[in-house]
Amino acid sequence: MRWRRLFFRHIVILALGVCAYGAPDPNEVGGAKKESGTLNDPPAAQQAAPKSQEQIQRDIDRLDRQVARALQIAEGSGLGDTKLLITGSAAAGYFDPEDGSSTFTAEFNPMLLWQLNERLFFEGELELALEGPDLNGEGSETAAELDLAYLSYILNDYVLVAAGKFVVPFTAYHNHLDPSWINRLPTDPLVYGDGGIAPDTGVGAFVTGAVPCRRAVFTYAAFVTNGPALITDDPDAAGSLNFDNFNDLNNNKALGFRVACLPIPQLEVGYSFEFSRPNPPGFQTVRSTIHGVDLNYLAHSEAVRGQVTARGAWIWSNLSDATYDPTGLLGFGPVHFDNDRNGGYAEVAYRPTDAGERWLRNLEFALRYDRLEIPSAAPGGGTQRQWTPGIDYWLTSRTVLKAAYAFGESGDVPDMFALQFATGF
Amino acid sequence: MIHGDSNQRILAWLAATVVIPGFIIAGCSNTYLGSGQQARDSSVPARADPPNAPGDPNSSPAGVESGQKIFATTGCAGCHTTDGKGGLAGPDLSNEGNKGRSRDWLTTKIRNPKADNPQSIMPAYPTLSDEQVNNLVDYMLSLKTASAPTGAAAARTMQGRQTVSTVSSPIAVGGTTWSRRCGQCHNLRPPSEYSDAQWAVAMHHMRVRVPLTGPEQKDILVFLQASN
Repeated sequence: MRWRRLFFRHIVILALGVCAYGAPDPNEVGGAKKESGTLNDPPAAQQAAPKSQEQIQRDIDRLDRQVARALQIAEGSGLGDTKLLITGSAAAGYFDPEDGSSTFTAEFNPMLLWQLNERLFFEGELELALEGPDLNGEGSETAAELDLAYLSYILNDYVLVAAGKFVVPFTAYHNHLDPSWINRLPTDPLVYGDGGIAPDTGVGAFVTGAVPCRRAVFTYAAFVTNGPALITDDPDAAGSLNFDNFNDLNNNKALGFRVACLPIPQLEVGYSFEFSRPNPPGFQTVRSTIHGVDLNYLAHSEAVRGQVTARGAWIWSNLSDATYDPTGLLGFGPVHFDNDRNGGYAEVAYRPTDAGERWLRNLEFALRYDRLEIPSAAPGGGTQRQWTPGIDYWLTSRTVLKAAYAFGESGDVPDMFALQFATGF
Repeated sequence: MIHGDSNQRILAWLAATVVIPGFIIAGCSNTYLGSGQQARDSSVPARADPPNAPGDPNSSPAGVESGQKIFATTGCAGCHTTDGKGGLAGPDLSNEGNKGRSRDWLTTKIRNPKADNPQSIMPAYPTLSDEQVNNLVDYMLSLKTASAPTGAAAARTMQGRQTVSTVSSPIAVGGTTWSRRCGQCHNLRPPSEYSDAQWAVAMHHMRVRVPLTGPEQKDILVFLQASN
């Protein structure tokens, strides 16, 4: 009997041993044995109790809830979800015209950009400039002008609409090239400056966008604005258009558009048109039709080891014939002339970007030719021709020191020496 | 110079064209523009240019580190891939250090991307100083994959590259569009100057002004936000 009990006892011990050896290791999860789970591991009771998958999942869920709560608190205590950016440009200049006094100038154009959401956008820009004294030494002041203030809304990938005071999309110059840190020369082309024949800014609405077509890109813009005002009572400017006409003088609005194409990445060519009836009440009906073509080319040239820029525009302005000061009461009439005004500019610039010396790479040479044809019978009439060679030094990609000398080809435009230090920020 | 005589004005202008560059050469290139950026021939030590640069002894760890930052912040990463990250508009540079490029070759490529390929769309970066370019070259020469894959591994790698290369990365497309559309009118602002949020506003502004298409705006923004 005794050997039987011993026999069964050994059988039981052996069976338990076999079971214990064949049982799943506690470090095995899902049938995969952990690297650390060996038979030499200390007993499980001596380690932290391993978490089951359910426990781990519960911990993860709890962490997820805590993170979600923290995000909710963080978002709720934020400063808002609109985005604001202040940028703009500033410039200081020295201008020494042949027929006037030399003067230093300063201007500051802060621009406020406000992205209200992914579609809605506001752009506002102020133009702050110093105005010098008149001949009596009086009138020095800081001139502040609301240059831009418009709200735009993106309809889809290819169309957006906007309204307010905006840069009239007539040729590319005012919209793209005239900020002082972009313009290669200290002065504007004659057709875009004071007494020019191209629209600048306007109050109204516009629709614009771009459409890709294979490798080319087409851009378009159509606008309606208060339009220019015909100057009828100024003996020095009768027959010309005042484009700073922000309070419309009649119910006729100016309509226009610009279409442009980039057939290759380096080249943009555009055509612009504007029609308006700018006559003031009481004056005979005058129709204004303005056409413009523009070109902008920028490329790297291996031949000259640098970057070459070529820009230009030509504008045709036609106003209906009219008689100014027909009764002679204003003292300069009657004046009647064929009121066709044409003009344009061509500019080339070269920057030796491949030069070995850094200071040479920062130099840029520019040359512009301007032409503005005003009817000879009109006040201030005649053809103005001007050459403006200049040299720039780029201190940074947006800060430039410019020197230029403008001179008239036939002495009909006063010569001028100009220096400008400009930056975009 | 101040008075109205025409001849004096011409002399003034001529003087300015000489004096301004002279002033700049004498002063700015070694002071203001400095910020660690100095003229090549005066301050950056001349480096021997071995015909094949792998293992370039002139590279320094600090230069490599600085070059990596420049690579990430000046837009290079928008078009070039290193270690599996970056754009695809330009060649993958992950193994650039094993390609036998000389220091001179890489420097020229950065300064004038069209020197060896007139059709290259890579923009030149004239604002980079010689020191920055040297650091970039240091970084380029340090880029070496551990070992050339062989057999099945090589086949998988090639297959993967072919798959990736057919994808138009928004970053790469954005980099190209940025240089073309924005660079058409003005010098390009380094991406590092704006935060992600600021670039979002700036690109919305350009969407209206240029104008850009919606996809162009998004691609450029992706590129700028990946490169700032």
